Formats: sequence, C-alpha cells, structure tokens
Amino acid sequence: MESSNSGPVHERTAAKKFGFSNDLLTTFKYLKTYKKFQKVLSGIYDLTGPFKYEAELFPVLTHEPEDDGNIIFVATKYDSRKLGKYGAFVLFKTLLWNDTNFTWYRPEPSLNETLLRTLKTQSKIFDKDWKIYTNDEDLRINANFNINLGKVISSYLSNDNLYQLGVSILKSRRKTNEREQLLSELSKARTSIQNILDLYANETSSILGHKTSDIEGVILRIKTPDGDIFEAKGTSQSFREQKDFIWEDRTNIINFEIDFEFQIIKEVLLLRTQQPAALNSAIKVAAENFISSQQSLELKRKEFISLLLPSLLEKEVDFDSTKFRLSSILNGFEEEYNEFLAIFKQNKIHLDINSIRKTKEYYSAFKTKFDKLKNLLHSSLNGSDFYFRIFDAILGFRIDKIIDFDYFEDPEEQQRPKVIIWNRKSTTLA
Amino acid sequence: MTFQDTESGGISSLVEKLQAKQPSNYVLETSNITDQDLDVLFPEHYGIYPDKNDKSYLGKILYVIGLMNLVETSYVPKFLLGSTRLAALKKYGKQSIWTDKLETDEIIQIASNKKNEFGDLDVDLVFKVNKKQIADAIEKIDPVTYAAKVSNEINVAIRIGNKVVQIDLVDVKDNENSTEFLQKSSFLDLANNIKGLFSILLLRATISHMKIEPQEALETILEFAENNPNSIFAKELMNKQQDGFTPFKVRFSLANEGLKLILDLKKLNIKGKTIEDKINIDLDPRADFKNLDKLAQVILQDLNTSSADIFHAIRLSQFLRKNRPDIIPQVWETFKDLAYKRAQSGLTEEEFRIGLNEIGKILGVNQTHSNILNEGKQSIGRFSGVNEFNNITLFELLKSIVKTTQSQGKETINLNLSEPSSNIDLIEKVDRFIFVFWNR
Repeated sequence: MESSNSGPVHERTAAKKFGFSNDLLTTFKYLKTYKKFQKVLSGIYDLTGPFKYEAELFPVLTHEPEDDGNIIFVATKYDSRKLGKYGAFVLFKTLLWNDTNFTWYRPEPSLNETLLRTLKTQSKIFDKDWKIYTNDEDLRINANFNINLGKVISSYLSNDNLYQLGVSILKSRRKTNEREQLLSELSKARTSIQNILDLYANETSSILGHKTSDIEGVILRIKTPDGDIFEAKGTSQSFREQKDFIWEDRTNIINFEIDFEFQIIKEVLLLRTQQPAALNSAIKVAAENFISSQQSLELKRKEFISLLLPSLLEKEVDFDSTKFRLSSILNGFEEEYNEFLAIFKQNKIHLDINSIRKTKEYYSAFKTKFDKLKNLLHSSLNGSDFYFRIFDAILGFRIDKIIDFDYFEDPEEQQRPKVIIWNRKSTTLA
Repeated sequence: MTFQDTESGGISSLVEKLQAKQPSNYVLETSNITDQDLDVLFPEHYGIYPDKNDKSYLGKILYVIGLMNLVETSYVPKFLLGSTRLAALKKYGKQSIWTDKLETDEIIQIASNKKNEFGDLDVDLVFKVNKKQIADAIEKIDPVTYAAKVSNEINVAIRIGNKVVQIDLVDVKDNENSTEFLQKSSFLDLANNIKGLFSILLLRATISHMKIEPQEALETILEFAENNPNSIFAKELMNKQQDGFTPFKVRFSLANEGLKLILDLKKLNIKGKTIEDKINIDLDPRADFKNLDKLAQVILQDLNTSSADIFHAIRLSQFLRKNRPDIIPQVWETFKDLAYKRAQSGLTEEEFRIGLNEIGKILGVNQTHSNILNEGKQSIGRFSGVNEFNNITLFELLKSIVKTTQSQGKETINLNLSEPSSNIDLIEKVDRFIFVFWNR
C-alpha cells in the first residue's frame, strides 16, 4: 500500500513509513491480515497481473462514531453505517503494470471501469466489514446546467484547425485584438463554470452522510478517450469554515514543528537552506551517486549523509559545538510547545472525539521527536557522531522518501517494481 | 545563526584610525547616535545645501565636498533613507520631512519614543566623482575628527568627544525615488517594534509570488525566444545557456528601475554549488517608483490599493490577510528566508525575532488556522492554495467538454448529468487520504 506521501509500504517498512499516522498503520495491519480482502485482490491479480487502485480511505477502525452516528473525516460528517464496520474505500482509478517497459500505465476507460466494478462487486463478501464505493457508480450527483461558451470560444472549438489556432494565439505574447478577445471570453467562462460548481457544492448533501450533511465539494469529470480525466472542482463554504475550525490546533503544531525544524536546520546543523524543495533536490542528487561500501544500516546512513552534507553546507562545520548549539535552543521550544498544548486543551471541549484523538497524535509525534533530540543531547555522543544523529533525526524522513537503504538487503524487495504515484488532483477554475 | 554585532558596526577600522590620532590617554568608543547628537550632527537648515557658516559635523563635510565639486550641490539631502527619516523629523520637525498619511502625530510620537538611538545615519547625495575621492577628501578635513572608507556607500566615522558615530553617504544618482523607497522605514512599523527593512522584505516576498499569467509562463517565454531568435531577450538567453545556465522560473522582481518580469536561471559550478542568474523579460518596468500608488496597484493586483499598502509592513500584512490568504503560506516562507539572510548582516537577534513574530501574527501564521501549509502532513497540505487552470488548460477543458458532448459550434452547452454517462459526470468530492493499494 502507499499513501500519497509515503512511497511504497510493505510489511517490513509499515511501522516506519506509516508510523506518523495511526489511521494508516492500523488500516495497513488490518487489511494485510484480512483474508477475504486479500483473497479478492489475489483473484484480480490472477486476471490482470500487477495492478494498483487509487482510492480515498475512510479508516473507521480508528474512529468512534459520535452519538448521532456521524464520523468526521477531515471536516465533513459521514454516516458511520455507510462506511462498514472497519472502514471504506472510494475507488478512483486503476493502474496496470507493463511488463515490457516496466512501467505502470492507465488502462483505457472501459477496462478501468471494469476493474473498478470488479473490486466493488467482489467486495460483497466482506462489505459489512469494509465497504467499497466507486466514484462512477456511487458518488454521482444529479445535475443539469448550462455552460455558456459564447460566440468567440464556440467558434474556436468548432473544429481542430480553429482550436489549434486558438492555442497558438494563447501561447503568443503578442497583444492582438483576437488574443484580448479570447482571453476575455475565457475569463467569463471560467467564472461562470466555477460559480456553477461552487453552487452545487453548497447545495448538495453528502451521499455518504446523513441527508443534512454538507459536502466538501464537487468534481466535474470529463474523461478523455486515452484514459485521462479532466477534473474541475467546486468547494463548499461550510467545508472551508469547518476545516478551519477543526484543524486549527493541528495546524498550530505543524507550523510549530516546521519552525522547530527550521531552527535546527539553520542553527544547529548550519545548512544553507531549509527549503523542502532544495533539500529534496540535494538528496536526490546524492542518492543518484550513492554506492554503499558499508554493511550495516547505520553505517550506510552515515555514509549517505557524509556524501550529501557538502552540498548543503556553505562552509565547514564545527561538529564539536553541535551540542552547545542544540542545547541553546531546545528550552525555548519546549516552553512554546507547552503553550500550544495548553491552547489545544482549552479548544478541545468544542471538538469531536476523533478530532481530539488525531490532534493528540500530532502533538505526541512532535513530543517524541523533541524528546529524541533531548535524549541525544544528554547522551555520550559527541562530535560528528552527534551531528549525524541530529541530522538523521530531522532530515531522515526526507532521505527515506528518496532512498531505501533496506532495499539492497532484501531480495524480495528487489522483485518489486519501483513506483512513483502522481495523484492527479481536481482543480479549481478560478 | 550569526546576528549582526551592533556594537562594532562597520567602522571599527575607522575608529582605530581615529584613535591613532588621539593623545595616548584619550580612549575612543563606538557609539549609537542619540537624540542629543542629532542637533550637532545634522546640518543647521533643512532643504538648503550647507554653506561655510554651518558648524554641524555633517554640514561641514557637505560644505567641503560640495566646494570641491565632488558632489552635486543642487541636490540637497532629504534624509528619507531608513530610520534617518525619523532622526531628521526629530531634528527638523514634521513640517519639513515627508510622512505618509498613516503616520499620524500619535504614531510618530510612539515611534519617536521607541527609537531614541540610531545605529547610523544615511545621507542621500548625488556623487560626481568616485567614492574613493570623496572619502579621501573627508579625511583631510580634520583627521582627528573624521575618518572615511569606501564600501557600497561611503562610511564616515565622526568623533564627538570621546565617542565615535557612523554616517553613511549614499549615492542616489538616477535612483533617487527607488533608493528612497527601497530603503524606507515606516513609523507605523517602528511604533510596533518592526524594523524598517521588514516592509521591503515582505514586499519582495509578495512580489515573488505574484500571479504569472499563462501567456508569460516559463514554457511560453522559452517558446517565444525560440520563435524570435533575434530579440534582445532571446540573444541574452542564448548567451547564458551557452555559459551553462538553465532557465527554471519566471517571476516578478522589484529593482531600481521598478517592477519587471524576469527569468531565473541556474547552473552548477565546478564545486557542485548552484549559481543563479537572471534575465529581464520586460524591457520597461510595469510600474516604477515615480508613481507609488500605481506600483501598489500592479503588485497587489487591486485598483483600490494605494502606496500606503506597500509602504508599511503592517499594512501590507493586513492586506494579504484580508485579500490574498491563498498566497500567505508561500509569501511567509519566502519572507522568512529573506529575513534570515538579512539577519546575518543587518539585523540584531531581537529585531529578527520581533519582526517575524509581529508580522506573523498579522498574517495569521503560527497561531491560526489560516496558515495553510505547502508541505507538512500531507492531509493538510492537500488543502493548500487554489490551483488554477491556466488559459490553455481551460481552453483544452472546454474543448473536451465540446467534444464529449458533441456540441461543436454551439454557444451554450447543456450538461444533463442526471443520466449515467461514461464520459462526463459530477461527483461528490471526498477527502480522507489518497490511498493506493496494489498487488504484484
């Protein structure tokens, strides 16, 4: 399995890669050993070979319904009885494995639909425990509306040649009347469609909720013959408001954690950047050039960080003063953390039980990271050993996303395809 | 992180030079400029180039270098750069010094009370010769009292009794308006303990996240260069590419000429470090410092804004919070980065911390839910920002709707999505985790 941010996760790596989220880890463990579910997947595998399903997950098994039977996921109320005893998936799309060029590919629309329908149909043997929904069949909203293209756009879209002309006009930097006119009409069309989608988002109640449950939003999907899907989204006002309220404390601690890491990176590790993109890019370059001469995992990691470090430093680091640099900033952060925690304790009386639990997980995750650094500070480690451990504690998760040190040691891993999943998001028009 | 040591400033070598000219038992000390010093430092009259009767320290310097024809005497210093504006206001009064409409008497009073010492004073001048000649001339006026050296500006050390203070002479030739603006210091910000340069850092951060129109996106710009190889831009780009640079980003930038669209390029040097460069895409600025209201309107993409919205960090933060919450996360990250860089050369630790805290509070980051993350836990990150279709993608989307519904030539398309369709539908958006499960 994998989440949108984890990379491939297997039994051996689950605790490490899904460890940040009880929802993900518990779901993984449950489905891994849930025989009925595994049996259905094996049956599909026998027909198609390697496959992937992209889906939204509702991990009921880590959530308690409120008194009214609702469970809040993100900021939307869903009816727990519609989700299965332990959870549910809403399936979006599928991918199949091409054995010739060793890549995943999107099957053409009818095969995609068949694959989605197959899993849904087969799920009847376990649907009390785990529901399978599909966007195609279950989340459709009845709608009837007009899209006004106007004369200009309509004309450009009347045949392929005029369409290509329109594209070249849009790409050109020359200010011409045609271009201004087309841009103006596109702007009108954009606003008009967005208003329609937002209106449906505001006025539709959730299919997976009670009749009065507001929904997060709607997606207009246009499927092209090559298997691609255009998606335009509308978002409901109530979702925006609920999300702000429910996620306030989690956002606080995440921002705080980012600031904390920023300080460690800049003031303790003395790296030239704390920007995620720059860090990831440096790690990627190092990963491409990394050949390990070490056997143990710990030494491999240290070897990798040694290779990576020069590209992230502006000047040579005095490793011996790392402890001093760390100790000088930890206390301040501990005080601030306690202040945020106190705010959360005040706010939680207004939150639902699941949001409280999940928010606590975020706070606990930070505290674990913080305590790890504190323990290292009081350990006998010194010099570069100490520096490398702090580096790993703060940036190790980025490294693990890009390079898998375990991979080389496990013959079974080497049989698995390397995969990168790009989840296409629906897009707001304006 | 190393913060600026305000005690030593940038004139320690000059202090040593002055010390060498003093009696052996007379020890000099570097000092900030106090309110009391302003009276003896600033020229006696505002708006008039000092003459031989001006007995002030600065008046004497200006008189001499003017007399020697080293600076343009038809240009009279306005003292509007940085916190020098507040110092000048204390000396000459509100009637003489330009103030923004938001800088009320009350705000000025608060700012004045909060800032009664100045690290240095910046004097705006128009140089007629190179800086070295001017520095040499200043040292000859009275070597026991004046010493000078050349950096980006001319740093002058002036001995007042046994203390030494710093004055910087800044050449504003051709860039008077931009230098004034780019080195401004807002009393509104000062009254709230926010150091003057934060306003320009926040403005630069905002500019770097201004919306780029699809017709000016990177691929379109490169396509333009390819199709117009004889254009100035294409030639410059080709030169850079031959030098190993790769273009990677189009963004807006505020420099002396004004607001321009630029192309960022980068390359790895032999040590493996990334070197960045840039090329102007705009030959002429889209707005400049001569009309600050227009500059504000172009930057903030709002015709109802005025210069005040970009002059004060507080005001700009309020504008962003109210009108552009979608870009606040990105602006905040860039702003922190810029502030951090300046923290290593021009800010004390306290100024850095207070500036970030105060602006962060107004922007709503760190403390409230309105701070949406770029990266972090994925489940939050997915809320971030508003992804917009660019015009070409929108055009493509509309084409696919027309094609799917076979509505070629129709000005209005009816989408009746009540009946199941395999090609087009409207669905409820659910958002938990995007999750992929797979089998091989």
